[in-house]
Amino acid sequence: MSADSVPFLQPGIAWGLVVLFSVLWVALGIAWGRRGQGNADDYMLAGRNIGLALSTATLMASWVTGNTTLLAPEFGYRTGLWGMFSYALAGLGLILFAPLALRIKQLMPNGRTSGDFIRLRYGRLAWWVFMVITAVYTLGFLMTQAMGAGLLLQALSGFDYHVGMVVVIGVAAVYTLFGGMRAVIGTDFIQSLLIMVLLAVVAVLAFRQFPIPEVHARLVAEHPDHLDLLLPAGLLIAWNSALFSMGEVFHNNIWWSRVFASRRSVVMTSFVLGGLAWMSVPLVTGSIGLVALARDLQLEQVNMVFPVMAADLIGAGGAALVFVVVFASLTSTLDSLLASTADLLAEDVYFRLLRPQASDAQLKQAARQMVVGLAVVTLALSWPRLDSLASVLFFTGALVASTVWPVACGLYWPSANRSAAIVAMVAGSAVGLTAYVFIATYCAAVFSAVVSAVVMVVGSRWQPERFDFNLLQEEG
Amino acid sequence: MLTSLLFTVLVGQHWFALVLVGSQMALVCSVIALLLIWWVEWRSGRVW
Repeated sequence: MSADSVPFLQPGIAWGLVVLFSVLWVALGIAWGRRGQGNADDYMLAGRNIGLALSTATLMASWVTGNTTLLAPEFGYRTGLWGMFSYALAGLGLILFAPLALRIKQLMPNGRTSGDFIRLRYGRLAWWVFMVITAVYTLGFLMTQAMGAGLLLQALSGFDYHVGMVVVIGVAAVYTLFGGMRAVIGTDFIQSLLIMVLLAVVAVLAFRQFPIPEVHARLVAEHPDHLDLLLPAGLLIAWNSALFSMGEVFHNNIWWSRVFASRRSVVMTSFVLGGLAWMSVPLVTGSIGLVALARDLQLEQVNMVFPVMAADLIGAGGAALVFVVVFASLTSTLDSLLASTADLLAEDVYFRLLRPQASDAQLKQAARQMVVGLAVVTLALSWPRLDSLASVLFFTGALVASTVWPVACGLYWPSANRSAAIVAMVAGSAVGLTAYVFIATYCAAVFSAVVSAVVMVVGSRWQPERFDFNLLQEEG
Repeated sequence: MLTSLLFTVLVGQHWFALVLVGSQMALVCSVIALLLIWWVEWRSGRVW
């Protein structure tokens, strides 16, 4: 299936679904945005008191990207069981962050961003290094989601690439702009339920058409390596996936903003439940890739294995279900990225760096302007169609994995040294990128995390700092 | 050939079915758990 060939879903039906869900997200987002007190904290962090259901759902929905629904089946199709498992191990990032989330909530009751923590814990120079890493990662993430939106809507329903991209970014930006974090978290709850229910329906219908024993028998006969639990490449990809996801979660403000937005009593549980719930998604979508392989389905574009299988097994209804799942996945990730990155820029750059005397209303206004600015920048950067952007995102694994130990050590270990943190991030990134170029793309995060850990521990042991954790309780 | 066979552990049909059905069950249970938690919190006014 090429992007220019016959779409799975008729454009009229696709437009109907887009209009229906766009109106729903925008209306709910605006309505929820009106509930709060109207101050900056409410706009940026939804009032800092969200419960377990919304907290778990927003973590899960934000972590289900367009890749989870389309790349995980491709992993299953290409690598078999280890492809599914390695993708699912990305859920470890959320689960392992759970105790840190509680610690953050205890140490920084007034904190707003991950940048706040790095600046207060390690100083301004470390903050600059951290901000460069987070900027590269976030822009790469925003662009992959934006371009994914254009390419997927085109492949699924025949939309023009630019129209699909503008629609998805536009809808996410409108309700984030007017409703802030409340809109993001509220819509995430519905989007996560929608994604999980529809995926379960697709999987059950698919395996009714093609039973599990038959799939297993075909794989044993024709692709036994896809069922091999000791596949060496699979084991390495799994480690890399787990460490990459740890880097993504530990450093990025998407997840820190959820910590600050959640009620203290639920924050740890929500990260554990969100991670566990998320892990079932790539396992289910990945298993659809195995069915495609067992059926010997010929694919022109292997990343379209999920919609091809859904349409093949269930017909037009299957294509419509996949379309809704993909649309919900993309909007739920883009709204989180827009809101949390806007918060990071408004708090760390506008308020803490440029205008410390800014009022609460000016801070809120700055956050809103950042949402619009980020949406425009993302559209501009993603306008030319690049097909190799996935590799750009993978290369950020080398950068983000270098932040895992500076963040973790900085939260628990008073001796963690600021110079060691800076060198750990720089050296980890450099070695990880070298491994990415000269060894293999899927080992970048492993090298980066190992080097960063060694530098952090040795440097802090050599010249221990005596950090007073009370310094993290900065007023907003 | 012998070495590659020695380092190969194929998943049997029983475990294969367990992984696939288990992941689908986990997905369904997640939906039910989320709705249940939301309902309990909604009744006590602690959703937001």
